[in-house]
Amino acid sequence: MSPVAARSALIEELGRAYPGRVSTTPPDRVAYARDLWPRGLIALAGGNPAPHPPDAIVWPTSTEEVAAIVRAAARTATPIVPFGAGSGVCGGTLPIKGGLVVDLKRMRDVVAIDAGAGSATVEAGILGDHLEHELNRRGLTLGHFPSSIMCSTFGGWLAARSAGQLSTRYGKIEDMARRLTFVDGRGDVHQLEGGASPDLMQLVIGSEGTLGIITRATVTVRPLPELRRYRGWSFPRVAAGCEAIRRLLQRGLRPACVRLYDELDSFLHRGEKDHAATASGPEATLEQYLSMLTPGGKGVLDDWKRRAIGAALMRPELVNRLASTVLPYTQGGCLLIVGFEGDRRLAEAEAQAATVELERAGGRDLGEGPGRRWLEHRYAVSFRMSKVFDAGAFVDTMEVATTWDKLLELYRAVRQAVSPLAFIMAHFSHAYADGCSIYFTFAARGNGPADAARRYDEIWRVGLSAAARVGATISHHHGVGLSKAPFMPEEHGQAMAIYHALKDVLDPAGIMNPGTMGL
Amino acid sequence: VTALYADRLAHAVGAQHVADDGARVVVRPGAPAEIADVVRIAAELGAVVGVGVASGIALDLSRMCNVLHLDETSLLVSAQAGIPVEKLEAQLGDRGLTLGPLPPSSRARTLGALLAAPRPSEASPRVGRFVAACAGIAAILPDGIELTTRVAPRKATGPDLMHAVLGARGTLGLITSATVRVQRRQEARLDAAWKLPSLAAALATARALLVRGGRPLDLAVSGAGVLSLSVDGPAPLCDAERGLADELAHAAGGQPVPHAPLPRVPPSLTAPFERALPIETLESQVLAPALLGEALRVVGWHVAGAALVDIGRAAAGPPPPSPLVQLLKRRLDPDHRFPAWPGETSETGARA
Repeated sequence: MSPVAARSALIEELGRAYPGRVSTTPPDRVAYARDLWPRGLIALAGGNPAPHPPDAIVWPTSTEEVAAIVRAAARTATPIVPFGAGSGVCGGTLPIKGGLVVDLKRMRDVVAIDAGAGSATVEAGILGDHLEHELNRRGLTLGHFPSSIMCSTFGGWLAARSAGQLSTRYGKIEDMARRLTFVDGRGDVHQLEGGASPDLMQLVIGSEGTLGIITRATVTVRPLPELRRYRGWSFPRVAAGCEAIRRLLQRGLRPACVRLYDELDSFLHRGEKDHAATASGPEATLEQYLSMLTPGGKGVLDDWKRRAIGAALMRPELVNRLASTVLPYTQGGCLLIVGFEGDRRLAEAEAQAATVELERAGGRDLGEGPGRRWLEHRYAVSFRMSKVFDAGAFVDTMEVATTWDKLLELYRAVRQAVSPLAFIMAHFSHAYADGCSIYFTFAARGNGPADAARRYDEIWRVGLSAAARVGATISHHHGVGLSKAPFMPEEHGQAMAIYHALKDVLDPAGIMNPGTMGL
Repeated sequence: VTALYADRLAHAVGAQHVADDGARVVVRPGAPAEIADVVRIAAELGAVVGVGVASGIALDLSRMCNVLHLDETSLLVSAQAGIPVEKLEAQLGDRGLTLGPLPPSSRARTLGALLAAPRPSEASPRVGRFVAACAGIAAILPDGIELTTRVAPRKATGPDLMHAVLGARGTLGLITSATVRVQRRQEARLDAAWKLPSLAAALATARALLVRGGRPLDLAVSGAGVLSLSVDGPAPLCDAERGLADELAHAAGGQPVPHAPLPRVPPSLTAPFERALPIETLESQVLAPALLGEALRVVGWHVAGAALVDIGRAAAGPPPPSPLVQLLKRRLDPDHRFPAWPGETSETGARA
């Protein structure tokens, strides 16, 4: 039987085995051909919605079914792309070689919750906010709040090493995982224990479907916080703000939220205060700013000003240079939001110790207002970006991380590399005793979709190359997918030999999410 | 072991650093490149090579015992694998830094041994297992490839590949140096203890403290139901954490008692045991009379993942390698150049 015929036979076989849970309809195939990689959104704006549709989508309901599907696919050399909710921003779930998309959203049970032990066992396909809601009903929280929480799954988080906005206290998803059920690319099922020697669980977490499919995991959960103490602080310069965060973390304090916005980011937030009637909060401001890029958007500027900014985006180096020259000397400096939460007694003591530390570091207390605004609007931005793309403009985020000694060097290097090509601003979040991540937001415009795509690729190439030269990691929590795959050999060097070995033994047929991750 | 070995090895590392003790050749390399040479020579000769192996070519890393870089801004230290913990701690101590609470029995072990063959007693409630403090490694694979992993606080760039080598007892890769997170000695330290009605009540209290967000320096329970707590950090936080523990202990029928260090499980008992038990399992097991009277260090579960308790008699010997480790071993080391699990790596060798 030819490969094509074998694949058709497989899909028919699956259709018989799982009636009503296999689809080959064109709308489904188009819907499952995309994620939220801005590169794809640029193509979409250019009229190309689904360059690589899958042959079929299948919805398993158990680990056993997943294993059976994988075995059948391996037999016929049919590619498999594991799929959660499609909110990835790196092209990690695009079926570029066709085959099956295995959508896990029908595996969404909360299997067990043990409040005393602080653990929950959950199936991979549950949506983030559904899981959080189930835990909240029992007085618990996972503490994992990515801005995609309403459109991403538990399994997707594990597959891509996700971080939530409060990761500084609760950890990234790989820090919370205790046990994993994993179907490898041969259809064999593994139970992996966290903390084992060697810790194989850490070799599966983050593998983005290239080694197999995570179907279930046990994770650490926490009591809902009794108390929240979120405040805003102002620092004259980015460097002073970073130094303050470092001191907090190295004193053993664990704020839930630490976000330092650079001068430009902070400036846009301040502008927000003048428009109290509209949604406020730093992220909403970005959204408002971005709406200015879109002709017909709900921007607050006159039409001609909008056009002027649009034109400036074609020469972003002027805007960036102006911003970095002027902004540090305007009124406000950088905004830092620091929040503590948890047990009443501990959170109160931590907030108290932090106040002493932040004042000592030269911070000016802005009170609870900025903290409250951030909490209220922290999910706003992810859902409102798409309209930017309709106008030929694009926006994306680049989340890199490094140790404290190189953090400002990283900040300057990426800004300098990207500035000629895009309007760029940043905030520092996800802090650790040994380092911190930087979350760059960039926006630009091309002369039509093809030019936009070229510019987009160039921004990533120069940005990540600059990060790698400093010795930083090219991703803190968005993952790799297709977008960062070309940078994997430089990121890992000779250690890629270990990844290749894992791939060979767990997916000898090479069917699992082929073509991604630089394998 | 032949004269040929000795010649080639002498050329690689210097004659004065090669010794034939009858059963094996002991080689003392001075640099990672020399180890890579030795690995290649071993491959040509079909000999097993590893730290302290009982036959073949035994690596003695005692010359590779230097601190390579101390980054006090990021609280990271990079050191060669052969450095004894004692020596590393002394150098860190001069700068007000520490690796964290490690048992006296581990002070003579090397950094490489701590990362390649970790013991439950080296875990702590704040860091979890000691390997959780590892931010990066340089290692050599069985085919002689030298790799260095990129150091960052966290990454999302695929599998955390150093975990194929950490804890693998030299079977999949040989650690030549590592970067580990260190802690600054804190301004205040506070010890406290409570007597609870039972061991189970003391364990439940310890667990509740960790689940509620406590991050003590050390936490232990005794068979007699004594809960012992050490905290450090900013003074208000120390007080708050003791206050929370006090509240939890009282709710469980406990009373404060003078703090005294609980006796540790004798090193002779902990040494061979690798298996740490989830606290859920432990609670039923510790009630077995055979285990009463032991002091247990509760080292938490939230940081490194699994619930860990250092319990001397919990299990006999290292667990067998998982099927996945065996698969990886066959692929990375088809010619058995590195020792087989659980390794001919003796503790004496690892210490050397």
